[in-house]
Amino acid sequence: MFNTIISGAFCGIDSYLVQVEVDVSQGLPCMEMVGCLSREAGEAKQRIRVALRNTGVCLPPCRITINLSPADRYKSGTAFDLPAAVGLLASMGLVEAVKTKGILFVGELGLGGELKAVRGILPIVRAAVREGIAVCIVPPGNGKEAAVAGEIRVYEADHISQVRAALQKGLKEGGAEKAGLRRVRTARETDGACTMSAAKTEGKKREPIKEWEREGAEDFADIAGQESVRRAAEIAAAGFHHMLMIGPPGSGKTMIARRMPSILPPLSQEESLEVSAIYSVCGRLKNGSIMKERPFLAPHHTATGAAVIGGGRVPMPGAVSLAHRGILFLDELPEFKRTILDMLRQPLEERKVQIARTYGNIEYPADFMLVGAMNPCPCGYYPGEQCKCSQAQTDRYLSHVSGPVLDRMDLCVEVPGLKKENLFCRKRGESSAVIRRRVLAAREMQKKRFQSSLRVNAEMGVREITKYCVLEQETERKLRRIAETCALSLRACHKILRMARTIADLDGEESIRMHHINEAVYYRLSAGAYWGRGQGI
Amino acid sequence: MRKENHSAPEWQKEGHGPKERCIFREEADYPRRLRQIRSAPRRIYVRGPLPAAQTPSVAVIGARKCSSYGREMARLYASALAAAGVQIVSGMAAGIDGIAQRAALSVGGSSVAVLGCGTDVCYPAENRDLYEQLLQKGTILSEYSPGTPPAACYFPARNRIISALADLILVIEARERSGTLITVDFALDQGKDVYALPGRITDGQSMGCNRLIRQGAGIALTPEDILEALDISCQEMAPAASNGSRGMADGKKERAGEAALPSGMGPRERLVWQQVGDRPITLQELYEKVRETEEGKEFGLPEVTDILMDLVLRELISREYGNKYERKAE
Repeated sequence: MFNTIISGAFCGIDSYLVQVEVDVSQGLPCMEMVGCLSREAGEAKQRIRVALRNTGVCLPPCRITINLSPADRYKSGTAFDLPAAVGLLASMGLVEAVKTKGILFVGELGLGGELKAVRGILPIVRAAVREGIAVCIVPPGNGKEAAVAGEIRVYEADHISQVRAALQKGLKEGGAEKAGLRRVRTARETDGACTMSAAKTEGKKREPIKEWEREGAEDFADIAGQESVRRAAEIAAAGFHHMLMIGPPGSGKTMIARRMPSILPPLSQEESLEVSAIYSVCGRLKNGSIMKERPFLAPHHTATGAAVIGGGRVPMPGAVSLAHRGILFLDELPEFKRTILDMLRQPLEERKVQIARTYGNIEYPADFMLVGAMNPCPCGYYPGEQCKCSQAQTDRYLSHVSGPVLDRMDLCVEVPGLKKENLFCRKRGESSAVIRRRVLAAREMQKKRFQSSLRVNAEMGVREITKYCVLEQETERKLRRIAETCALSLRACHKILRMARTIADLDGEESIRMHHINEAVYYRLSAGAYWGRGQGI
Repeated sequence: MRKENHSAPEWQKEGHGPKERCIFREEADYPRRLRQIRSAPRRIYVRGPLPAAQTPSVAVIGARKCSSYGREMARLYASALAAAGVQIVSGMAAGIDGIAQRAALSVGGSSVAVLGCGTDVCYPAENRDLYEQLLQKGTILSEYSPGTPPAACYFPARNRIISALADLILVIEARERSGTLITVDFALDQGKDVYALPGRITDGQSMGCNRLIRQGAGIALTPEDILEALDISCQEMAPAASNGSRGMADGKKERAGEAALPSGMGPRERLVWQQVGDRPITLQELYEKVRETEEGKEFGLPEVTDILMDLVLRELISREYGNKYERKAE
């Protein structure tokens, strides 16, 4: 008897449905699994055989063939245990084949028949939703993740015998509840009513801010003074620009970076799914629920290329992808290997990484905000009195950050060391919630301007810049003069325009004025005060 | 360190600029001032005219890492002295040395560079332009044979030649423990006058200079002071020297008064400009200072940034290393 069960697999964060075809026929007793499988996927036959026997189902002395179609795509992971086992049960006539139709099965089997959570549930279930599948059965712990994928009924099953019982009765006929399958409700089903009403009112916009405050996360209010860095952080957050902080040790660079997520707008539903899919593929979703906060990744400077960019035999997302839609914070930037920093050039440019392996390319999204922090010299105090480094040492230290990487930093800001009188200052700065409100207003302007084509100013290409960054004649003349005196490249000019657009958005102004340009020029040229000595102004 | 980094390109070695001469201590051409010191080198290599014994000569020396005050003053003193016919001796190093020599050549004066490497080697590489200029218009001198790469141990030794070739040593800027003070020690051993440019007592960059003054060094308040000191030893230069120095002294007096406001400044610009002092400060410090003033209360950081940038672009304020800002010295 031959049967087909629906399952799914993922490659990168792309996912597709897999037909698990099970055939039980006369022949020498043996069990085969085919379809371009990795080692752990092929080992499913041992797990299935033992698991079924331990739940009281002995395999018949027949020739069993399991094929995973499309058979030419390399498949890995243990998600095919459950569908193969169900297909086998159907082929043996223990459940009706009709009742297994239109259901997505995903899960790993233990030898006792219990189901175990697998990686990549979110992209797999999303593929099923795309294909119009209405029901899915997933292992315990994967339910919440599956439920966010869209319009699909999600059941969590603990044991293969539960699945068997439910299918014998038929899921539609109420077998699921009777057999002990847990229904996991999608977000829309549980609080659909309240979000629908909230979306209509103004209150919706404010809601995420309150949520953040309630969570008691790190807040910008903890930082006293440092207005120039705060301003730079605000601009960076409003337009999703990359930022570099330079300052002596203990001036609060790391502290500021850690507070960056608190002023970024909360993840939208769509973004949350994108980010969650990446984390799902890595099996890094906490408690199986989706990502609600913007990711903040701070790899140590000894990180390898594979850890930063992504890699491995089956390439896993690296830090740049895990920081998708969030922040990649590189503390002590010059301590990173130069090769690693140069690897960031492609993702910084294209907002995705392509990892090439013999069996194909895998693409992970990598649209992150790069926040770098570093000291101005090896001892950290240059050009202060305490600095003990020679010029050559300082030059060598700075040269670890290559020009192309530096060029991609939109804002550069120096973080002055704290003065002694501010050491025990009780005064608190502006809180994250207040800054975030301004950032949200600026983002709102960007949304209106770009409609759906782009999200933020930093994404503007040349065409958008000419369209949206229109300058008055006088302003344009002045910018041209600045570009000439400072020998700015075209890329630098575009960066200044993008940043000036963001600053104007923060001001709530439609047109870019000279003082917006001036401020953008300040933050853009600051890096030149360290690297390009005697260059610029 | 790769040696070929510093050595001059091939085209330069072959006939570009004056030929190198090797002069032994016993020869008549050997500079008289140099012969007088105890540790005079047995032979020196010279490119360009030999320093004349009757020309007054001043060593303008100072730190490699210098402030813009030091930079401006090195330029001012060196050009004033060179214009008065004084030869400027220095080490062609980064910072004060190079600036002083450039200034001397730019007013058509003469300058001698004493190197810590072969005369065909340009070190540091950033002073390549000065090296070329010196080949054309000045003198390059070294006790090391051609092709010798620079080494740390050569530099203190060459300092004795710098002080020996000068009648007077002018220290523009030096930290408390600066290599410049080695030259000063040599100068004192050789019985030369030492002048130092005073700086603020809170300024670490000038600490060495201020200490020298406390120990009895001459105080260089104007370039004229130096010329006066030289007049005693070389009266034949008097007419040219006094002419040049009087001009400088007048200019100095103007500067001594309240710094004149550059024209075309609105009240907002003036407020920011006044807060940017002579000591470089960061945007953050500037913002705090502006906020402390009465009218600055309603200033926001973006506004201060805008005005600061505006003044920088109008070249009224200069940007220093480490993204610090200060008024441009005139």
